[in-house]
Amino acid sequence: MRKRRSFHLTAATTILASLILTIPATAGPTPNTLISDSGKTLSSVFEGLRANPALRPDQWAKYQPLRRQWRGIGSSRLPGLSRIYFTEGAYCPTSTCEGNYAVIVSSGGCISSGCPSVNNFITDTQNGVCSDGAIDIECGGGDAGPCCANYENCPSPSTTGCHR
Amino acid sequence: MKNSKYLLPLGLAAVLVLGLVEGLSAGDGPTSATVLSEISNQGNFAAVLQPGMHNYWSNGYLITIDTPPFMVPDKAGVVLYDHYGAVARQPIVWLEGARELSLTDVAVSRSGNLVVGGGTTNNEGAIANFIAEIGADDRLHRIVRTSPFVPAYVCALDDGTVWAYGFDRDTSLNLVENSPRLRQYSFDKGQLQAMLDPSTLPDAQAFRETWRFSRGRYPGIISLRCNSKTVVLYNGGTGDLVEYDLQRNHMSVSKVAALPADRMFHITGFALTDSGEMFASFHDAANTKAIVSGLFHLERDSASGGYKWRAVPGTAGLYLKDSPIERLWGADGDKLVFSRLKDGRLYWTK
Repeated sequence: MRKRRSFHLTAATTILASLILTIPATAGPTPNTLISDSGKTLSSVFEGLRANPALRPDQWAKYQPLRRQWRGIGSSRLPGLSRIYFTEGAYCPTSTCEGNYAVIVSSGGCISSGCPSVNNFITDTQNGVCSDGAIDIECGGGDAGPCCANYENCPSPSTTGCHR
Repeated sequence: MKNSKYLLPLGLAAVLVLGLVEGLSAGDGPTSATVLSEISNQGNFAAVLQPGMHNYWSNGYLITIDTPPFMVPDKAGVVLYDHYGAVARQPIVWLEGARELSLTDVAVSRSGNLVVGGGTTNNEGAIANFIAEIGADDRLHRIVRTSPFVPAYVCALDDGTVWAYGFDRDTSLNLVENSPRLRQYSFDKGQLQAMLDPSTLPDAQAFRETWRFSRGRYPGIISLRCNSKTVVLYNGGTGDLVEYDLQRNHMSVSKVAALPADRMFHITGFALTDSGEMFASFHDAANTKAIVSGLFHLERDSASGGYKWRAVPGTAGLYLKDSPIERLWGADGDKLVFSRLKDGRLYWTK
């Protein structure tokens, strides 16, 4: 009886082991091969990389939760001579061209990395062009963190009252 | 006077007119071989109407990436369409341990090998940048971690290697200005080559700020393309044309005549054909009442020793009106793939 039970146990173990071994390696998210730029095999794409406290999820929450609407300021608040600052964005921009007299006053959104400040623009009715609106464009960076963006001028959809 | 509103603006208009005149006088240049009135085939591509980060045609596929390019573990964020507009590939790009994963670019080789470039962050905030090969099962098969190099654009060759344009980051995640921007990677050996340090170029100081933009001032101003003989990087902001001869293993940097500096002037498409010809579509909205677009061919300029863009005859005109070019999407062998209106249709030149 004991011999038969032992036989069954061995058989079951063998079958189970065979099944595990025959599962293709591609079934999971782990790739077949993963190497560093020097050709060294890695067990994880994050192996040996330094953690960055500023990019921890609890730190991101200080700014904006991911995939929330891009925090811009709509056209209704644009008219007039006022300096408008945009806080750090955590979601790639999807806005359309808005506003008039938009003047880009600084750069940096696409230059610095990590979670850079988005470019500022001002609404300058004295020196700006009436038909110039502003639109935020994604500039990538591939860091998978908060999105990098820059403001660019664009033809405003509303040129009512503009002289050119 | 009635037609005054249709007068072409300065800027692109000047380039277009000059290009047309020169093109006609040149007569037998390679430009005359491209006749856009002849359409070899066309198809419906609803995807071309969607806003995209970097959607283009390459080696038989319309490549599209979700906007924003954040990937998820259970849904394809990249879609490739075939000549008929049907979905051909839908890879899922995700890595074990990732909290966030975003792509910077997708490329397909002549033989159909699909690669992606991107970056990922884990729960501890560690950032890894990578180039990955997608298998026939539309899952990641081979990965080379490129950190601290961030691949902004990738191009896949049939020998299995991948060329990437990008930049190194320092420990504070800032762009390293004097790092090689062009790299070649192998999924077996890692990085094979690194070249093109912008700080060593003759006009490095003049274009220092321009090179600091990792992907250029706007999407489309920098293009990386390759065929079986050459890897081409064109930076429309600096006017640099970098060509790497794959047979001679030699890199050369040439200057392309400057494009209009107006901020409303944009390169909207770029193509490198199999035979090595380069084309681009331009869009100039400096005059909002007469926005113009056209197709241009890159030609040698014997006077300067560099290159210049010359308008392809019959392609320049008012955007979405008499211009037959809304946007150039890329090359399909030696054919060009372009859109004429914003109607979701793509056309192929003969």
